[in-house]
Amino acid sequence: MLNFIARRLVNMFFLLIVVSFVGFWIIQLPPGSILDVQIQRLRMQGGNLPESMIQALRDRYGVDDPFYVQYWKWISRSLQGDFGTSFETDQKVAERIYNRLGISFGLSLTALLFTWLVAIPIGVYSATHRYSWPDYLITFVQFLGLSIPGFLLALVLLITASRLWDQPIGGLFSPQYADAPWSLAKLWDFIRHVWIAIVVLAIGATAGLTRVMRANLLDVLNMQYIQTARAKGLKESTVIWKHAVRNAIHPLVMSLGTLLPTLVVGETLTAIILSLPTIGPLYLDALRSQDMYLAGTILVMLSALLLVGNLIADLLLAWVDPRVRLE
Amino acid sequence: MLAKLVQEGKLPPVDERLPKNPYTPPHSWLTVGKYGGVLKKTYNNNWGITGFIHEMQYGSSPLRWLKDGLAIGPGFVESWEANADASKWTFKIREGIKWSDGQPFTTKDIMYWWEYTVGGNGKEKEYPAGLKPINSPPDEARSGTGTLMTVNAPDDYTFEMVFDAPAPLTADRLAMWVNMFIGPAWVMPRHYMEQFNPVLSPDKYKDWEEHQRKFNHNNPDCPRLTGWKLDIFEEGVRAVWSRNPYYWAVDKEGNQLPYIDQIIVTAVKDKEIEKLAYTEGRADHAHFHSQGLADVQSLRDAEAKSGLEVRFWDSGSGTGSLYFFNMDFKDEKMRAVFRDPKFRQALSHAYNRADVQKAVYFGLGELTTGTFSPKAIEYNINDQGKQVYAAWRDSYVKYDPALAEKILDKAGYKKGPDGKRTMPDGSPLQIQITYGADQAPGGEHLSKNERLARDWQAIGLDAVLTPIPGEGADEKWRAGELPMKTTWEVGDGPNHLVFPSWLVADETERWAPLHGRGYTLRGTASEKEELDKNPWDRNPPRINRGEPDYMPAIARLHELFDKSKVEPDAMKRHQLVWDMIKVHIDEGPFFTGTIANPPRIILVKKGLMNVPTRDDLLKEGLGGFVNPWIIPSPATYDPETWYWDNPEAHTA
Repeated sequence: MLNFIARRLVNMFFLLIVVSFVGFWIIQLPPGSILDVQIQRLRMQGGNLPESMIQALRDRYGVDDPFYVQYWKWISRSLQGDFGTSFETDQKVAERIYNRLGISFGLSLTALLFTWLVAIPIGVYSATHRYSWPDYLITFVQFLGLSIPGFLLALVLLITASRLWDQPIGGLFSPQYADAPWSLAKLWDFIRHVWIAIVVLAIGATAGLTRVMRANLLDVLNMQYIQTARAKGLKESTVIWKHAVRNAIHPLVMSLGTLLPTLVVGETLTAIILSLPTIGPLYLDALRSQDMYLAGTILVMLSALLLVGNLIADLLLAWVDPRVRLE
Repeated sequence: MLAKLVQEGKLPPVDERLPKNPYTPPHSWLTVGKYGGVLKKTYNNNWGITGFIHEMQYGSSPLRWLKDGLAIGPGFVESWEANADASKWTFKIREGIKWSDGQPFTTKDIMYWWEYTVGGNGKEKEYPAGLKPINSPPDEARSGTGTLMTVNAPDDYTFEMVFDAPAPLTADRLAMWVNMFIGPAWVMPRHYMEQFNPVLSPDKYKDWEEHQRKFNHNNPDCPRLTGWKLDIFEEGVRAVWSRNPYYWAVDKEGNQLPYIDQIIVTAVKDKEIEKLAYTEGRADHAHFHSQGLADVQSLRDAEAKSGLEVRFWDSGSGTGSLYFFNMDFKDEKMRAVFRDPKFRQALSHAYNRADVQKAVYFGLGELTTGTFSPKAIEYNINDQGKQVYAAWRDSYVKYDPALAEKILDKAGYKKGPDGKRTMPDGSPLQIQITYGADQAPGGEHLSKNERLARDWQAIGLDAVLTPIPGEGADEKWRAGELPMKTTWEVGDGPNHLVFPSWLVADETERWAPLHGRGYTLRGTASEKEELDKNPWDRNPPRINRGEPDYMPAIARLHELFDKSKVEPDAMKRHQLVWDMIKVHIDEGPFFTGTIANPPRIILVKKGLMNVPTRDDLLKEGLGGFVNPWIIPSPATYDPETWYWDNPEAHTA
């Protein structure tokens, strides 16, 4: 077991180096550079920028260096824990990511918990009461949830809530609470800012997950060992929860593999609409403006999360299902 | 807010915080205000929440533009003079100004910038091996012939700029930009910055990265000279600014400015959401970048609820959306067409500007062939100036398709059997109207381009809309590989010579990029290199003076421009500008405009006082001139004088 984990970790390291190289290469493929964005902004509405200033910026960002030089500058420092400077704000890359990581994880985990707590019971209910009117109702709501894009829902909720309840637009706190110590009033203010995000994230995910749960369970319920369990005279709840659901839950565990990176950037569009300072919008901006070090670091971070997630999923699966062998 | 700190002994009394001779904003519309309150703002990017608040404040600039560019007034420099040929300038700083942390501000802070970040006065030679200066010398650091100045500081409050030749535009240029973080710095808090300087501590720092990180408008630790200082910056979330207790300006009764205690800027991510914040009244002020003319109706409809009044200030743009051909296009045959003044004049006459004015600009502005800003001093100084402006503006503005066809026929661009016009030698002629593929559909530039294509097709030209990838377009333009630019506007000022690039090819972004590159490289080694190569194959691509591809009209412009740079007499400089404009009228248009001077939207919360209306601005200056960064607006109208009529009602 330990051997297995160690081998996976070593493989992961080399895989990450390759990913970073390819990723960095792809990010800088489009012509132009961060400089174009900077210049564009300075020129906004016909403003002007002296040639000497442009040259100074070019030297500073090293945009005239060939790709491998830029890559080496970044990766050699990254291995020592210094991910470089974000061109956009002149802050440390690590600082920018760190500042947003907490809120990203917090939001997504809350939404995820909410999703699982709602989706699994509903999926089970829906499967065990197939073709009853509650099942139809659940299915109908699910399809609505699946088909309304999250950003649209966010927009509708934001505008409605803004008109009806003075919903704050953007940010995490109202100014008067931003620097105040935590209190009930501050918590309430915080919830007022983030509830839309959680609802939107949870609704989309719940709908999808319930469908998966329902379909899987239906498959399992037709298996012979379920019949056997029933024939043995086990309680129906034991049949369902102990024997059926445990086997139907495999896909959920497997989905953990992709879950970690999704937790970090899954909410991009919603976060843009709601002006939430999460990693998603940061990543998008960094890619669009070719803020190389920032984009590269997030990319590697996401890849690492994907690999770690898969490792965890494999281990969990072995634990949930004794039939799975790791070696 | 500050009186309490003084009582507690945390702050010296106001007399000790102000300089001997504080600055008093001179505007005619100002009333004496009340202290207190919070100004809430919103911005849709990271740069804005700190960068734009810095842009709103003129406190770091040596001199200031007044009356929309018609006059120059004192800033932290209280008096200045030049010798007879304008080659030596002497400046006196107000005595007793302090940085926002209470440290004295002296000429040392200027010398630090000049010597330890630009490498001026020969200091670059003393830098550690391999370290280049982080800042380049600004325009005002060079004389008319291009050599660098020397800066002397005989005492703490006097500094001199010494040139080898006349440098007549020095005062104008010192008034440009808000400085410090935008435009050339000029001032750096030496006591704070020198801890991070790789020249002074080569053991600690090998490069400028830490210095650059600390000298940034988003760093709350960096001391300021402006009316508000940054307290908190949370990237992507908010910025909080509070009044600088050491700001060196007072109102006419001697009360220290600014009046407003805090500016709180919230970041929103999306432009439409930002608009929602305005229609819902969640912000107290917006400058023109955030909302365009198309938003006027919805903002006005929301006025009763949002409490945000829509005001208009003049943009001062020479033209809104424009187009121009690349005089240095790589393809020889097309280049000959683009360089033919008759061809460009015909196309200008074929262009139905009134239609674009109605559809895109809501009937605002005035139709123009395309000129420099109508607010430029050369057009406003006397009657002759006004005539020059009118002559250029009207030169090819008339919408007359029949005339256009006649000119084209006469110049040899005859219609072929398929009804499409050809080149004079009979080969096919296609005009690609190029623009960045990321242009918003329905936006001002695309709407104009669609009409342009329609109008040109109507006179038998094969004009096609050609979107191109936005990234890398600049490189291609500089190499002569793109035929047209169509998504820009002319917005510079306040005179032609401080930023002459639309008038004369002196850089690579506008209508003659290879000429511009050749001009910037004059006198350097590369003027003598790669002479055997075709200009388009050189690195970088460039056309040198005297070569067969060097256009006579541009030669004339360069010659007049060089003269203007060393001419100390202002009136004679204006004459030289008028002469350059004559070249544009005779051989032009080199860039073709649509409408001049459309208004810009400013949003002002009810009860926010001392924000000028357009009438206020007209009484004193030109009704606004908000486009250029070099006359920073609203900084030039001193937002430190803004106040709430009921400050208690405007808390966080």
